[in-house]
Amino acid sequence: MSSKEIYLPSKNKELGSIHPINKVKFSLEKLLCSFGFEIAEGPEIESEKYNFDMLNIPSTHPAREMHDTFYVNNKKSVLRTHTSPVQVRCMLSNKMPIAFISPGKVYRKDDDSTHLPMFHQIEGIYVDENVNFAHLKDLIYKICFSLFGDKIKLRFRPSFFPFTEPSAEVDILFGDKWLEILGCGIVNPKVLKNCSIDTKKYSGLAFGLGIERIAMLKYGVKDIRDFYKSNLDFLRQFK
Amino acid sequence: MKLAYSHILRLLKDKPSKKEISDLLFQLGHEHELENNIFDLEITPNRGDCLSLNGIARDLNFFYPMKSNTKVYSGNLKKFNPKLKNESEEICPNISFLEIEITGKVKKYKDYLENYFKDLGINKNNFFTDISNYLAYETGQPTHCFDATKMDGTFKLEKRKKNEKFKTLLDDEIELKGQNLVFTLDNKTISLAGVMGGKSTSCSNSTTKVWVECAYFKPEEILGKARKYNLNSEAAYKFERGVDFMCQEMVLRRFIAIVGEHAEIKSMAINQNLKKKVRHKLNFSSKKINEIIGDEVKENKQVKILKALGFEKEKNSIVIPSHRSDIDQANDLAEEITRVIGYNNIIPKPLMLPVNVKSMEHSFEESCRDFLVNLGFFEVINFPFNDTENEEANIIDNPLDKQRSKIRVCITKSLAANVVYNQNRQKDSIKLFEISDVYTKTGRERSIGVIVNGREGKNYNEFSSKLNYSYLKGILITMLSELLATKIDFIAEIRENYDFVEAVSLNGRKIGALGKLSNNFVNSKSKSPVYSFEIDITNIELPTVTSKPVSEYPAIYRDLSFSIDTLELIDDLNIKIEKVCSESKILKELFVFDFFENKKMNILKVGYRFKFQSDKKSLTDKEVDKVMDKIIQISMSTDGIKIEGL
Repeated sequence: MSSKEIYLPSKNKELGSIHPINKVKFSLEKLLCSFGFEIAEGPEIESEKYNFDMLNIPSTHPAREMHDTFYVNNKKSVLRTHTSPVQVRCMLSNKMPIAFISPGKVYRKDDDSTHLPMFHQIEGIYVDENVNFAHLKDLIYKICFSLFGDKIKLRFRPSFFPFTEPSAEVDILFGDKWLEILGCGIVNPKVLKNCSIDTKKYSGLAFGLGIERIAMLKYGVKDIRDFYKSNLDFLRQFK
Repeated sequence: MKLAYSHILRLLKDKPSKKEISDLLFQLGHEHELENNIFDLEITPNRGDCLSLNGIARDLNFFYPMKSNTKVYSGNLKKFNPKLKNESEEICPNISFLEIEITGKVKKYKDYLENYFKDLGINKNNFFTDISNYLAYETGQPTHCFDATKMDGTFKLEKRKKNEKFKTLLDDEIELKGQNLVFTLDNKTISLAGVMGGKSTSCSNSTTKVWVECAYFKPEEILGKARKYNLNSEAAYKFERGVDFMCQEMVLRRFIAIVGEHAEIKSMAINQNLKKKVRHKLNFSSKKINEIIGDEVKENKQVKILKALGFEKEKNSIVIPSHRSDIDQANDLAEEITRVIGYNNIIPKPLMLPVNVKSMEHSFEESCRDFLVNLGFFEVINFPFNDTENEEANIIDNPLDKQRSKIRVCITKSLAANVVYNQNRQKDSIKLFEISDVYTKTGRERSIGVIVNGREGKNYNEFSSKLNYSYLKGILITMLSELLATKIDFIAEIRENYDFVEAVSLNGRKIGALGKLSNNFVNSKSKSPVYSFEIDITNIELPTVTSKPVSEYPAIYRDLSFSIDTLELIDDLNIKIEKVCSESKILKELFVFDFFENKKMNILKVGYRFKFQSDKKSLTDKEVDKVMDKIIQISMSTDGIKIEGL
């Protein structure tokens, strides 16, 4: 090397970045796969049967109204409102026991400062013999400790989802505020029956996390809409 | 739903603090905010029974037993016949009417009634309507008061399809459309059943005689009706979530008691029409419940909890109270018991999933993502909505607006909008990509879209270089050929939205296009060119890598510089050279190491470097020359391609 080369400016290269939502999604996938879950994917344009009926959401349920759900091609299909239909497909096409996670985009007819018409979820289901609520709690603790550290405080609250019974929402204490972080429950036997699973022998647990919520907490993003503006200044922060 | 702390205390034997009640409400599943003395509760949709003071007190009963001092009229009542023709008994199986008349002045409201309005900031209306509103708050059962003097005519409850104007008791005029469950008087709608009464039969301050209607409507019949007519209806909210199907008599007797506390009752009579009377039963198995919970809760504790919540034990069965329409299986009972015990008090049991051996290998998609990020590209995620005219696009029946009425059939349009967004924010080097499912009416593809605009990079070499077609084509070729170890083909095409474009094929299958986007398509104020490619990566997998021995023999390098008349000849030259390469066992690698163009002088030169190597021996110059001669011969056979000095 000549001495001149030492004094030349370095040719710095800029690295790009994976989208922060995908970064969080991939780390959750990695975590849950390490617990023994397998990744399953399904279509975003779904039938009402898989998105609602099979999941014990009757035709009279408010979620099925036109103001909440996007209907497609003269009501032939819907834009899936959750990734749970993937779980239904998994239950229908696999022998028990099963342990799947279904990450992906979901859609709700919302568009304001805190709600977007599209967002990301990762849901998990485990069906086996003798699965119970105490097992579910163990799994949720493991997930939350892995995400936020084992010093965090968790709170389980009863909630309502048509596809789980009992159902729970889990809050985490941030500062002096409890923030809702995920929903979970014991798979409703009606859903298992819809998937021709013997409910006398098998029971299951299920959970679902909103990826945007986790990403906002992890990166301190205040406005959910920032994720989807494609602003290079915003994206550069997540290398 | 708002409840005052002091109102709850009125129903309890003990006097728990606000915090104690608040903590218990969370434990029981009633999320809320507490401001001053008011609990603002978010009751889950399955718990219509908790949309009242009594309902919440009932849920707290295991911890803080309820008092039983609420006054209910217990005397005999005459029979009343409103002559209602109920033509919708399936929707409204239980309906009762109280006819009540008062005389003289109404007294000052007692504390409990006065405080309901004062503490919750609710406006008073008239005496009977005030009681009706208060009763809905206390019991959860909506009632409706018709002014008895206005009820002369044929009275019906019917589900009918009739377009008609209807003036609500709040003076809003709405146009009824489609099927509606309505009370009619002489064929004219006087009340949108379960939602809101009408002006024509409403009460006023001068009303002294009313018919109080108290009914159970099937939730699905009321669902969405208030929203359909843009009405704010507490009654509809309660009916939608399910009310107690057997509470009508108790509620009407309570109505009488409240009236009696405030005015002199001149007459009263009751009418009851009850078709739905049977409370459901469930087999009770303490063992099954513990299996669901994963804990050992003793049977007597389970029963004690259920009884406190209003359930009854009958031999091996549990009788479900008429206010709990949400309970119909063992899992529901397990939830009741668990929430009273406290979800937080259930001890976690270690869960070990039966781990299957799963492939953790990188996918082609992941490799593409990593490759692009390492080259300075930023990943974006776009909403899939637009207003494309492409007939293959899926159509959203109920879009947010016209601009978002279709589902995109390609990623490039979204990426072009991202470029413009960043150009408008003074970004002069834009390299973006998106990987997404793309849907058409015939199916879905997994696609990757890449777009570039502006400067190549942020160092003194790349700053003055502009991102161009060959840059992007190089990235595409490298990505596909390096990762997949296979050749890709390009064929020039003419396509809408591109100034120029090439179709991209992989193993004979057309997988996408690479091109310079037209200004009209990009729709930017900037004239700076925008290049993109979008390819279908569905089912493309990385090849399995099998290691081969590496040659230990020396390599020989040769360079050749071609003078070319026109740019178009480069493709010809490439094809010919690659043909020789594919036929030779010792020509292992070639690449363009130099490119020079001087348009003024009409000079175009391309320099190739060739690498020769054998796996078996050291090569001789003669062996290399033989291949080089072939390259020279085949390339020189084309008009317009020369090698200086030959």
